[in-house]
Amino acid sequence: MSILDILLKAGAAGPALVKLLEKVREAMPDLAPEIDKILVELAAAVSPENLVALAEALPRELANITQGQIDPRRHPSDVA
Amino acid sequence: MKRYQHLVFAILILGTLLALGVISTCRAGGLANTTSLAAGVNGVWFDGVDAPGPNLEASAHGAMSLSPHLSLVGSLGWGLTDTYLRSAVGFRVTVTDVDNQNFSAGIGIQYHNGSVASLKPSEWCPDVTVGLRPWPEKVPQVALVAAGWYGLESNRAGCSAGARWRFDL
Repeated sequence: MSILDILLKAGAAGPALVKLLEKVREAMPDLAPEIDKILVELAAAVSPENLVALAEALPRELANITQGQIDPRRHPSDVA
Repeated sequence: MKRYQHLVFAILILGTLLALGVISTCRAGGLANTTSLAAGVNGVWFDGVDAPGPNLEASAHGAMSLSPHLSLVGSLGWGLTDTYLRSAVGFRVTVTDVDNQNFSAGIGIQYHNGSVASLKPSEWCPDVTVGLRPWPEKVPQVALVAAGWYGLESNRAGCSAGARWRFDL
């Protein structure tokens, strides 16, 4: 199984999240513009084109990690 | 005896994360550079006829960023509406701009384990997550998050939405 296969499989969990965000939008109409923005960004992020580009970058990052080159970032979605 | 298996499992997961954290921390020049710890509350919805109903959950989260896109992640959740303990550990790939600290989306896979029969089987679950820091200037520790996942074995989906308070290390 390639890195791209793993990414595509993981991306398939997206509908559950989209469904949840749509329910939140229905329940809290005040948040609708923000949630619409998130849904657009999410759709672009899990698009096959983006995942293919990412799959090309990941082996390089993995190689760096195995060589002890740690290059950390802060992502709010890491504590979701 | 069986009831303690979940606790042992959770301790093993946390221990593994801790060990990886120590190694990465040495490489990255400080714990604060790699590791995020957070506590939060969630609304959680599980798929399945016998699954717990919509739940309020208290949770603790750890994440370790190893590269711009790759992070190790783990969490423990305590059901407040229905009492249960569940844990998840795995990795996540950030699929949005890695330098944006205020909004990110990630996809990944985690091994989910639950303390009650209705949260079985323990299985690998691909997930998609989003996180947003709504007030990065005033309250940078607060993040709003949501996640969706499905079990590879059970084919059941779940989702959660909540708030996090990130602790500065």
